[in-house]
Amino acid sequence: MTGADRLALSAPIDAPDVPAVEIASPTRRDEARDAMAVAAALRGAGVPVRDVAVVARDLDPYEGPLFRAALQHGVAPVFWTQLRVTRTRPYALVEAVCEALSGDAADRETLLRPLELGWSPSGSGDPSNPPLPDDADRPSPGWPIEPEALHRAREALPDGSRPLSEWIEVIDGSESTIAADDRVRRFAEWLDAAPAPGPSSVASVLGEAVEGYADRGLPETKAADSPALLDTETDARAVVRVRTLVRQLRRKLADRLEEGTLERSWSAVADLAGVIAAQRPGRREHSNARALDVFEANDVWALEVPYVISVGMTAEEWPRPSRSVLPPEFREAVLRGEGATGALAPRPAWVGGRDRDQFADTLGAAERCLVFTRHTRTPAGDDAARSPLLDHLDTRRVAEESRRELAGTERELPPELRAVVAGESGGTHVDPEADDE
Amino acid sequence: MDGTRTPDDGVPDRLTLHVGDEERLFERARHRSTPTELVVSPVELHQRNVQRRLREARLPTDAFRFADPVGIGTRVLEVAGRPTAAVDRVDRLSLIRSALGSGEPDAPVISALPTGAASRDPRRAEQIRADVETVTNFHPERIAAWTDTAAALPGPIDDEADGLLDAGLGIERELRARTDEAVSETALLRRATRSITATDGSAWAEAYPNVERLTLLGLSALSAPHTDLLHGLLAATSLEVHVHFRQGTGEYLRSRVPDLLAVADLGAEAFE
Repeated sequence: MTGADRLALSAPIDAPDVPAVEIASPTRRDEARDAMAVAAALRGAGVPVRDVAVVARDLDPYEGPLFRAALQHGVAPVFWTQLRVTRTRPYALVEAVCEALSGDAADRETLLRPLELGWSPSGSGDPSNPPLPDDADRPSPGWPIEPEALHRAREALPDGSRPLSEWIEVIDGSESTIAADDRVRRFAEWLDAAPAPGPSSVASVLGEAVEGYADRGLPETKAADSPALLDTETDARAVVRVRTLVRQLRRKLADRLEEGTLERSWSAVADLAGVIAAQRPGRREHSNARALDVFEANDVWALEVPYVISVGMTAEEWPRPSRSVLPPEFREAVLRGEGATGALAPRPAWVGGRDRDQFADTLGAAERCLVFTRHTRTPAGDDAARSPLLDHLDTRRVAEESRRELAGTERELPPELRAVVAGESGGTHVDPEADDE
Repeated sequence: MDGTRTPDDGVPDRLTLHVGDEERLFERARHRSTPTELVVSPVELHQRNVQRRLREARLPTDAFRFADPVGIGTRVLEVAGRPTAAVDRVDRLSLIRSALGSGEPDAPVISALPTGAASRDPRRAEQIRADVETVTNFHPERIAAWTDTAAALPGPIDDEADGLLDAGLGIERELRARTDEAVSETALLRRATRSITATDGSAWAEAYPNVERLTLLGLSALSAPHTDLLHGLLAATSLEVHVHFRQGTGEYLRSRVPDLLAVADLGAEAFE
């Protein structure tokens, strides 16, 4: 090892053998719109949506703007990103069940919240457990309870907190509406029958809630979803994640109770679920041929996609070396690895090595064309410099006038991209299974 | 990607280092009754990307078995009847919190931590521990190399680097005192490495009887724990090992491999 080897971490990156087009937009929001306008215009020009992918080094600042821009352009995006399970309905349901069981008493809102989130008895989708007999005067006894019936129940139930057993008495004693809807009572009884929180009771109570949702809540989401079924997919992923979470919860709860570091209560169970959910994000399970894939750059390794649109090509966003607790001088010595130091394992990420890899992977993924977008102004109005990674290749820069035409209602492809697409339709790239979107 | 397979000086014959060039894997796709090649990548999604490429090219996947490094370490231990339970990050942070909270103010683990409020943050303590583990695998020779490296730096950076090493080792020791399980999944890798070398490879052969080749993909770094596992496999088995680095860091990492392999007694730890 010599110091010269260290320089390999700043050596030129091989330029791709496909054309690269660069679009500079004023703000991040404009940039997201322009990126999605490119995707929509490509689709308009006959490129199947699955032949296009959007890549960002870090999706966090781009997910929102890209999502809104996609909707404006009539594109359904799928973000290959960590599922924020805490924002999903199945997770909210588990949390709401814990809340309803917390403490000695619950108010009306807390009691009904799990029903709003689609609570259904486990096995209710099973024909061996048929719904209650129907009756012309009664609402449909299906699960989950429809919003109108829940609204009637909320109107009929009194204010104030009371124990679950008292809620059941209230429901039994009330006139007409909720008494007639046996489903609210059935749910309250299910809650009231829940044992004290322990590892196995938590696993069975919350497991039932998740399975009930999988049986009945998920089909509801699907029925109400757009044709690309994006909500269904999120919901289905969340069910898988929350099932795993319930299993982890059982084990961790056992450990914590044994150590005496956790009190035995449903609210402590909810807190612990929150800690677990925040730690191990799940990932998307499968691709959706009708939606536009949006990836983080680390995830495009070894993929091949004809058109790759890479956003966030500013000096601030990409590269961004990883943080380390080790002093920079020490890291540099480990990277150089001279003498005995050579036995220490270096992290190229300390000096942007991972960023180089991910950039090279992005270049390598594009089979036909690369489109780089960046913004030139920060929200504070300062200049946002161009990413030095772009210096590794020659890009064809789109003129501001062409960019405006792209962003306009006509959504006209810039000449640089038109040329590539035109080359394709006259070329040999024929995919008999290409969908016609 | 260019063909970058070249003979490497200073690495064992059965280790081949590539930069990119993952297509070579696809050339080996064929029907087999049992998998003969283990395809290992630390990033789960990368395994799926390879599977997707194989599927799109209508190539058979029977010859391959996909895994991540921890997965193979765990399997080796399971087959050998060794424990495989490891504390996860959530529990590790909670154990560190209690170690920092209950320690005497002048206990080594506390005094070695950098001063300031941030140093009491369990996440920072865990990062120090994990950085020391990634760079050294807690191997005595590498810990000595760390001390030498620190000593050659100007003050006060020499003391800071030494202090971080002591803190990382101290936190690891505290964690070991507080749990019967392995402190991290990386500890399972070390345990598997020792098991493979101590049994002259039979622990490996029992876990993966038909595997002739191991391909490690998609790396942006070669950590000390991963290096020592590979080294142990090369030393104790007849496995062919292929490592595919990525384009941006591959040339650099390839140049570092010979020195990283210059460590004996693989999986050894600087703890009693």
